[in-house]
Amino acid sequence: MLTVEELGTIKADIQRDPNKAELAIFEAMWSEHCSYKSSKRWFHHFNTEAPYLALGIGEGAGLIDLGEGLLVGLGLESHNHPSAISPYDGASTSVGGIIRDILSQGCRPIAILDSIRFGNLDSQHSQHLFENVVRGISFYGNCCGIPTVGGEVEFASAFEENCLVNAMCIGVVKKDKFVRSIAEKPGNFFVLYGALTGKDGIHGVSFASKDLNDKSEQDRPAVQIGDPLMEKILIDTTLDIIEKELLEGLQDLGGGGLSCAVTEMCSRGQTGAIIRLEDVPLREPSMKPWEILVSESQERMLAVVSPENLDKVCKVLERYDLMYSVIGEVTDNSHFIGFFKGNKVVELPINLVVEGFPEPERIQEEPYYVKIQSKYEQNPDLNLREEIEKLLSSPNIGDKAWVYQQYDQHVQTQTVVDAGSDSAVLRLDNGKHIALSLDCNSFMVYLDSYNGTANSAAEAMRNLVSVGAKPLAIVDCLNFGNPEKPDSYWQFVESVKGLGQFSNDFQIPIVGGNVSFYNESNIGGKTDRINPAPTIGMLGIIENYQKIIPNHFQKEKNIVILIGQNDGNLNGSEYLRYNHNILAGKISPYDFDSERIAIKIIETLNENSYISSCHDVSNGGAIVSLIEMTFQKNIGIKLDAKFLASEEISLEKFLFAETPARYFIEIDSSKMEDVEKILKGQIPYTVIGETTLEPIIAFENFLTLEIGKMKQKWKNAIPRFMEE
Amino acid sequence: MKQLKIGITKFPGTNNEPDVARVLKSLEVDYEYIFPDDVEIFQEMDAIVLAGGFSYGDYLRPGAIAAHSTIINELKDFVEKERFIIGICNGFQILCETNILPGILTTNTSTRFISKWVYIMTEETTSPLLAGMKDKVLKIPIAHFDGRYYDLPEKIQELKQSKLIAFRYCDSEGTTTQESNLNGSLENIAGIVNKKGNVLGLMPHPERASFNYLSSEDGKMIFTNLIGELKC
Repeated sequence: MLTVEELGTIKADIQRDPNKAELAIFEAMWSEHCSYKSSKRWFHHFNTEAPYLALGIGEGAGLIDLGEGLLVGLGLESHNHPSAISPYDGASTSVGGIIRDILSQGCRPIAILDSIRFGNLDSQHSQHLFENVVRGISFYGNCCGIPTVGGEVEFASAFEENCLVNAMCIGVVKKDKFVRSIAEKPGNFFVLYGALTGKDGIHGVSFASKDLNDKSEQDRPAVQIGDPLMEKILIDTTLDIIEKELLEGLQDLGGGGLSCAVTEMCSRGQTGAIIRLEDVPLREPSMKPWEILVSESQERMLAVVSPENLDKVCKVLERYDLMYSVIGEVTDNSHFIGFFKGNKVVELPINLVVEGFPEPERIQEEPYYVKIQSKYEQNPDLNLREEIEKLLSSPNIGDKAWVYQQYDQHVQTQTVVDAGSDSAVLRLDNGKHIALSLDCNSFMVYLDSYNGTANSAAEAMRNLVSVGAKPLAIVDCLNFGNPEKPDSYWQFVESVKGLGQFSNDFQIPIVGGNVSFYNESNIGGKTDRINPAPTIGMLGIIENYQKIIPNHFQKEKNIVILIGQNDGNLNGSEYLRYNHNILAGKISPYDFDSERIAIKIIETLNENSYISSCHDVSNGGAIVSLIEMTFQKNIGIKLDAKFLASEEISLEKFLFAETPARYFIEIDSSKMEDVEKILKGQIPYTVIGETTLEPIIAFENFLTLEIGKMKQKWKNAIPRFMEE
Repeated sequence: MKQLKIGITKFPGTNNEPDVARVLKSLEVDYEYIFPDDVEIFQEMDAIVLAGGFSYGDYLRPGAIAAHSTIINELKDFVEKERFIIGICNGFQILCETNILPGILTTNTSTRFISKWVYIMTEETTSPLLAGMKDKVLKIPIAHFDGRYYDLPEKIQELKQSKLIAFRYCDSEGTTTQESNLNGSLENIAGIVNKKGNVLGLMPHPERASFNYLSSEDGKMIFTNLIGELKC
């Protein structure tokens, strides 16, 4: 709903009362989702520049120049509110939407990643959402022939009423063929093609710009319905048109529907538009002009086509049997003018629609819980075996195969490293390899939004580094609560600053993303807010495929080294949260120098081919990372316990702390001398043991964990809830 | 000798045709995409690969709508002339829907899509497409929602007696266990051939296991066998 102030701004500008169709446009375009009215003012904190950037933030996809005439496009978007109401349709259209964003720049989509968050799995409601979100992503992505190669899943009670579904898509396009979402030249035609326009998803963006409540079920018509067959045909057709270089501009119809695509493209081109709404092909003939303007029916694209290419474009559309219609023209009068059966139903200045909203006042206030200290000291009766087994059976730590095996990971025959590793690795047609990761630790961001966010970005980066990739670009999806509430807004601002700091420190540009506010609910008189969850997607490059590093132990009698320093801080760790039900206290700060030096060391060691395997330390701490390294080949490790604990850091803290900037590396013993030359004096490191063919993780003589048993706990973490 | 050309079917929703093309290209064989109404060029092809994907969105039933498209008559003619046809995944489903191959492919027992590297054992058949592969264990990916092979007991018996079972799901050692039978197929069946041996249908994806940069090249032999046969 528009505010009184917003309505006043509109009236003052156009010198009259807006009509119903115009109001619908403003409600869509000035919604938080489309306008970024609470968030945009902070984006100056982001680094958005890089010499290899071909198209930065602001359109469907950011484009990275990989050289040799090849661009990689990437985007990341949320579809949270729809998924909470209708998980299958909400999740499938999240995939459809991000694919079309990539397509809007002319990219052929080559991979999908998903970041999904739910309440604890012992809740039936969460099981239902989880099952159907995964099913929706699976059906849509698989059907479109795009491999889903990675992502993340997190479970926490804070997501019980507001699940999060973020989808990331990556595509490629030849440099001389990419298109922009722009309408520049007056006289060019707007061609709408793809699915018919129906009454689904009407005011979807407004629905996504308010809290969920007891009556949200009534908003079901605001949830879009996907048709992946139509999407696949849309992709094939669009790529054919792109290959023939027939377009002047292209944008998908996403949030805000037709009104958003038209006004945004005109705004970028500093032009105007005349649109004939009766020429929009409808699924339901009785639709009113305002409904046609803001319907968010899926699988539709709006192309800008020059008069000389119009016939050729129509010919391709006909070959693929796709519905299309020439619905209007680009003009030079900087207004959006809409006709319906001869009557003028819209006449609005483009600038007013796209960026004329009054910036609302937003207040920040540090939440009370930030100051609460953790009372946890140590566990006096520590039973290591029990603690480790419990931790491995946490759905946040356990195997995610239940999820990713429902996604086709191998279509397009480019997936070199499958889902389940630190990063997915894809081989491009030119022989180069790219690595992709998607991460966020919402618990850390909850406790400290600045450091938690910067560390989440660092974790996405460490995942790239662990497979031998060099980070190139970031996309983000900032999922937060209600920005009108000061404590929630504080989380957002701190998070943006943390991500901004990271992107500037490492000189990695942020090339795209979105903001999803209002992930709060008021149900049955109870207010619930998500943990703040800024998910970070990262793209990296591997120039030499022989330098791809495995994440698992490769052979016996190799030396295992921990790179980096353990600070013994258990706050925010999965160990304290899951095993001991504590989420409080100060987390480890983001530390640029430690991260930077650790990366440099891993890179140097990898250049010299000294690393047999590498895995970074993250959720669950050192012990979980180590155990994960044993799983693939059943190669165990004998730990040298005297190196593990010290007077300052107990064994408990050594094993379970999630101190950032740390990696395990496996080294051939013959290379040890050379490796130590590189490490000494440069970075703290600990030789912690030796690999063995025995399938055990052995702590000298006081504890032996069998790999098989650990693997069973880890593998069963999710199926034990979902396979009943 | 004239240049070989293999047709790869492309229905709306088919999405593995570039993957099959990539393999053929690597083996230096020419190919052409065959759209559902491309009747004229169909018979010019030396062999047909029915590529996987979701023809017509798997709407109604996987393969059911494609089985009624214009080129299916041409396909049946191809079968009778004993020319080679390989149906992969959705292609196998189409071959069963058209009754070119017996049996049906129904929903996995898990009722979920399964995408995973698996092992299959090559059984003894008389099909030239599987020449020299008997008892070979192939590492190969599957990706399907409806891959559970099913037929009446007497029909399954007939498949066994006539040596028409091409592949069975097995473990890495080649043993056909229940655990390795991920989709619940009868007799662990992953692929079958027709009596003449010119038609092969299989659920796993040989085209996704045909390059050294993927985890396996075990699938390539099916394509090299096909090309070898066409050349002689």
